[in-house]
Amino acid sequence: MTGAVARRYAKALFALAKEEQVLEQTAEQLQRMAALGDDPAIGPTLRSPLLSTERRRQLAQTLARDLSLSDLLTRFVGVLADQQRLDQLPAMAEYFQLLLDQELGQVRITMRSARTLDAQQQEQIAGAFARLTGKHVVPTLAVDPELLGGIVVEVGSKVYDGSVRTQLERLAKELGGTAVL
Amino acid sequence: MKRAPTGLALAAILFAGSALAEEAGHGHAHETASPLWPLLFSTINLAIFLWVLARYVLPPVREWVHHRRSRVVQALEEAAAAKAEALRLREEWERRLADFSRSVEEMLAQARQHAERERARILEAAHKTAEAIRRDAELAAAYEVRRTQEQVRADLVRQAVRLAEQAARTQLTADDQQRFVAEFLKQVEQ
Repeated sequence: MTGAVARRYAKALFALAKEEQVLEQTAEQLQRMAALGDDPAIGPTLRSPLLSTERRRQLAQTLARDLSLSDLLTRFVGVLADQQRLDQLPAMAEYFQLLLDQELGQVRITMRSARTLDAQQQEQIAGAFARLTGKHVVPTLAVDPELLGGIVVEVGSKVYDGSVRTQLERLAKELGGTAVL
Repeated sequence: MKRAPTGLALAAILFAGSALAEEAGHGHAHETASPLWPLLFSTINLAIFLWVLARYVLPPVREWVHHRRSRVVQALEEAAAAKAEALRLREEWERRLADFSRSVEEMLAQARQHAERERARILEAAHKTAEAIRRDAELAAAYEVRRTQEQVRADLVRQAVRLAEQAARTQLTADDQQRFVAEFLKQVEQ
């Protein structure tokens, strides 16, 4: 769950990007920067309390240049370094993407299935959820053999579970739910 | 003081009587006298003797007899009183004995009633305890049966789920997956 601090920074960045009409570009660059923050070789250094504010700012600016970030995002990263909020980058990127999806009238869904879904199945599922949410659907696919069969779709915090694994677990609970183990 | 002259008079009379009798005897031997003299002297002696007896002996004797009678009467009265007291005590003790017997009977009856009540109470408590033990045992047995049943059921369910998992891994086909997706979409769109 995104924290209040991350949401506040993300909203500010979103307003500036919208004003400069670089919402999608900013979202994509923010995702790259957040991924760098998750890198085990770079992230701990960026978040290290031993680093001085000036040194942390220089490091963040260097990374921004290497990633070819926009001026807006470069300045934003510098502010985060000054305020020691670089550890909030992944949460900010997530919330920024949510704001962007709302702005564009789209919703992101994750489809997990036991077998690879063919194009027709993907279209059917995306269409069903587009009708359900009334928004354009941006799907993400994943294969999970542990589902045994069927499919699980996550839309935001909601989970639509049609997997064989879950059905078996439900059946087992109904049959032996009162078992003393 | 009064006794000395009286004693002297008595002795003189007795001596005179004896002397007259002896003189009458001597006279009889020397001369012929009236045969009534000895009788007369004996009669006088007897009279004197009787008078002396009546005068000096009888009063103390009478007094002693009277005293003795009084003592006997008193003793008899005391004996009668003692007898009456003894009778009263006997009656009282007989009454007490009767009361005691009755008390003993009452005590025995009370003791029997108490023992009967105690026996009934102990029996009731024993029945209650036995009933509680039986009920607990039944509950414990029922719990064990239910627990065992549920364990068996849980084991069966686990085995069934495991077998179903194995079957799903090895036997589900692309068509099955297609069918699952179709059912899923149908449920989502409902």
